[in-house]
Amino acid sequence: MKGRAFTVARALFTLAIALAVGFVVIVLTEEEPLEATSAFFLSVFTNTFYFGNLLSASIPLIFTGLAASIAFSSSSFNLGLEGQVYLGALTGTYIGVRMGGTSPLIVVPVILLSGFLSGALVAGISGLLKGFRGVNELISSLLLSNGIVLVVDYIIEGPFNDRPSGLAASTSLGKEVILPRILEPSSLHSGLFLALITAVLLWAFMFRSRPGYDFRVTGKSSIFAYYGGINVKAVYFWSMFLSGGLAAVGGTVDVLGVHGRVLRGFSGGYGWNGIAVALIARNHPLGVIPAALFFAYLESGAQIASFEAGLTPEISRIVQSVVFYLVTAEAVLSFMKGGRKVD
Amino acid sequence: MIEAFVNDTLRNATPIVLAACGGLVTRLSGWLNIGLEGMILLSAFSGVVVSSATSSVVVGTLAAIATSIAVSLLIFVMVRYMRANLYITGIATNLLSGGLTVMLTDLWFRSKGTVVFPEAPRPAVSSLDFLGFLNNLNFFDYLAIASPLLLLFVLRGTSFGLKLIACGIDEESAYYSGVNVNRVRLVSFIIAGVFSGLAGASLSLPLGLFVANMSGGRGWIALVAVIMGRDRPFLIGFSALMLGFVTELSIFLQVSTQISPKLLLTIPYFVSFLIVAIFPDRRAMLEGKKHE
Repeated sequence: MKGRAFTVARALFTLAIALAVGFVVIVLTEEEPLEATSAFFLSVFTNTFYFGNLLSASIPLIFTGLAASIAFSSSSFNLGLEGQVYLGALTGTYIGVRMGGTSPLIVVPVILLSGFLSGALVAGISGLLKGFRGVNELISSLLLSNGIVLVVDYIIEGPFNDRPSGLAASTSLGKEVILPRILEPSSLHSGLFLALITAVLLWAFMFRSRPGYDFRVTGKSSIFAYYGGINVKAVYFWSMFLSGGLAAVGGTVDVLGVHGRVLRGFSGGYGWNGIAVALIARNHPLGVIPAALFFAYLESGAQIASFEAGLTPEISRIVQSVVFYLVTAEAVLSFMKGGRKVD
Repeated sequence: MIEAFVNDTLRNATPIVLAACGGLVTRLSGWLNIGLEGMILLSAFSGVVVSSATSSVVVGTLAAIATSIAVSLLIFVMVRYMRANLYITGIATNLLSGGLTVMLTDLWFRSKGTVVFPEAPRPAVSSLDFLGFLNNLNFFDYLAIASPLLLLFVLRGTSFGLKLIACGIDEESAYYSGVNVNRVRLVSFIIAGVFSGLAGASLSLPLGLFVANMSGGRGWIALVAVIMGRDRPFLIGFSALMLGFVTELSIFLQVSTQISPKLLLTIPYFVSFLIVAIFPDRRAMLEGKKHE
């Protein structure tokens, strides 16, 4: 239990440093730092609209965080989350539009499943290549993802564009498949429950099932797993498959709940932030939920401050990268562990 | 026509070759630096800003190199002394550079897209009329041609090169043979900083402008060249040239055909993906063999 308390303390300490850096950046760059700071850090809590949007923004991050955590805890580096989210959104929307008119009770599950499969298959390729050809999955998933983002951009601006709107966006889904809203007028939707259920299911899978055990052993040491009779190649494939699928569902749910269609670049950052979320949570599926809320808080804070106080929203990216720098640093706070030396 | 195409290919390959040389050195040391993309972007920004402010290409280039070294050292310090994960720190660098450059262009130049520096001096270009394909090349292009040679000499002909390779193969053996593994890696990160700084400067200085996300994946493609080149400087130079050719092809087709530019821009990524799928990472294979 002491270990867990330390993990939480370290996560909080990391986040505190990141926020402090954000504060310093705001003070250095803004003409009215106090106004900008309070808009960034506090405005979110002033009304239900902002707060609902924060919760809504955390939904895709929970999915990508879970996606990253399942990959990391099986020693697979899935850096293709960005593309998988975007592809899942497009595939789900396309299937939904083509099935327009059918009962939503059938359409919504089909949309989610097709979104899942699109991301899962793309990530699965990287998993297969890793197992059978020794291809570094970090590079292969990233390259595929970068290409896919451009292809999706092309599709929503070209063949699948919503021409009358004049936007860089796809055709819209029918109103009947859009997930019900909570806390209107904010964009919070019932996808939140789906995200929470998925987190619990993934926790049960990882910590209460045999395949989950195989995943975790492979993550700790693939050599040990191999000699223990675990099919390491299968773990590489399935962990990437599930990871890509979860990320893609994150994109699909965001479309179903918030936008109703794919907007160009709507998912920008979900993938990278999902990686940070998983790292803060130390790859624990339930820890992903608070970590995702924190990242959503940063995003919402930066957005609110940008239209309330003219703050550059990129400040949130700087704070996020500080989190990235510190989150895996084992030396952070190690002085608290009974004065043991780092090295 | 062909001459112009070869010429453009060479110029497109320049940042990739330079960054790949930096990537190779860190990879041989055993700590692959995946922050190249971010280092290129930040140094492209600082290079053009400083060269515009000082009206000097040389000072601008030095500023680019200094920026890139500083970022590389930040990664090194985080990994070595704060015991952070090497890859995550690299990703952090790429994210930081994306956010920081946009924030600074917004703050200083009130633009989030393209910033033009009309006063920025351009690096001189060669005029070799008798060899058309070597015409109009600047200092960076020639450096890119020379870098693999230089690297080959360092790796084969100096004790540092041998130490570097030893660290990557087995750090414990290297340590017990009296190699200061830590210092070798520190130097390799500085070298990577120099090369990516040059790569960044070679992007922004000849154009006299900075564009958000100007590095456009070149840092990652350079890593592909390193994997494809199987740790051999010449092969890496050649791979980078091929990838430069692919990049040039996607640009050339955008001008000459009706195919959507978005689709053509995917070519370098998908071709790189096929390359890494076809040429597996030999080092990763060796590690895989240990398990079997």
